[in-house]
Amino acid sequence: MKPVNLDGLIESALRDEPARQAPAHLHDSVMVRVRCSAMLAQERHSFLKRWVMCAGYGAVLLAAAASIFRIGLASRIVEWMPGLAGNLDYIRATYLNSSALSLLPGPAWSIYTVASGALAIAMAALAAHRLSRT
Amino acid sequence: MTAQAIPCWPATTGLPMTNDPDQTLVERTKHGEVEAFSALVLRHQNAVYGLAFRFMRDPTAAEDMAQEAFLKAFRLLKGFRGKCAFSTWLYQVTCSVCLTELSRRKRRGEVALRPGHPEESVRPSVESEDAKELIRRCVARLPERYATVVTLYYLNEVTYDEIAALMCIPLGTLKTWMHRARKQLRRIVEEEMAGSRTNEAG
Repeated sequence: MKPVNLDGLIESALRDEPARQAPAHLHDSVMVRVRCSAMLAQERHSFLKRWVMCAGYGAVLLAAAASIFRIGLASRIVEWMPGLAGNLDYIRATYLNSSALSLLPGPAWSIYTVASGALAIAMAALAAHRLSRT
Repeated sequence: MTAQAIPCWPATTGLPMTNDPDQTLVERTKHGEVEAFSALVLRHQNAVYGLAFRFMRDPTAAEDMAQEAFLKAFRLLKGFRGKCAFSTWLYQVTCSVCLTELSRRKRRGEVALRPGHPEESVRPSVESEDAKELIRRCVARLPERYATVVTLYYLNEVTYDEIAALMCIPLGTLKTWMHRARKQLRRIVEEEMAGSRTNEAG
C-alpha cells in the first residue's frame, strides 16, 4: 500500500480551499444592523447629554438655593440651635484662630457667599450652554 | 461584485485623501459617514465570508459570523490606528468573532467540534475532496491562537509580517506557532482518519 503523504495532503487541503462568494443579501443585512447600531449609539449619546444638562441645571439651582440659604437663614439657624452655635464657636476658637476664615467679619461672609454663588451659577450656565451646542 | 468595481468617491468632509482607498473610507466612516462603511462592506464581504466559512464550515453560520464581524468592526473602528492594512485588521476581527462563537458552542455542548457530520459514515479516501474537507474542519479544533495563524496564513492575502504585527508577537514566535500548529493539526487529522476507519470496521 502506498504510504500517505499526510503533510502534503494537509498543505494542499488548506491552500486549495476554493474562494467563496458571499450571499447576495449579506451587504444589506450588515448595513441594516450597522445603521441600527449607529442610531442606538447616537441615542445613547444624546441621553447622556440630556442627563449631564439636567445635572448642570440641578447644580445651578442647588448653588442658588445654597446662596439664599446662607444669606437669609444662617443667622436664624444659629438662633434655633444654640448648642450647634456653641460648638461652632468652640471649633472656630480652637482650630481656626489662625485661618483666613476666622478673620472674616460678618458682612464679608455675605459678600463672599454671594460672589461664590454667582460664580457657580455663571460656570454652570456656561457648561450647559457648551453642552447644548455639542 | 468585485473589489475593483466598488467606487471610492472623493471625500466630502475635507479629509485628506490617501492612496489606499480603504483608508479613505475608514476615515470617512470615523467621521460618521455610514455610507463609507457600506462601501467597505462591499469591498470585503467575499473575503470576510470566506474566512468565516473556513472556521464555521457552514454557510448559515458563516453568514451570521460575517455580519457579526462587520458590526464589531464598525463599533471598534475608532480604535483602528492604521498600523496595518484595514483588510488585515478586519480579518483579525473576523477570526476573533468566529473563535469566540466556536468556544461558546463548545462550552454549551451545542456542537461537538468533531470534523465531519455524524451521518458521514463513508471513509474519506485519501486525496479525495472528503479528506480535504475533513482536514479543513480539523483546523477549528486547534487552540485559538494556532487556528488563527493557520487560517490567516492560508488565506494567501496576509503576509507573515502582518500576522505577527496583528498578534503582537515577534516573527520568530509566529514561525514557532506555525510549526506547532502544523504538528498538532497532523495529530488531529491522524486521529480523525483512524476514527473514521474504526467506524467503518465497526
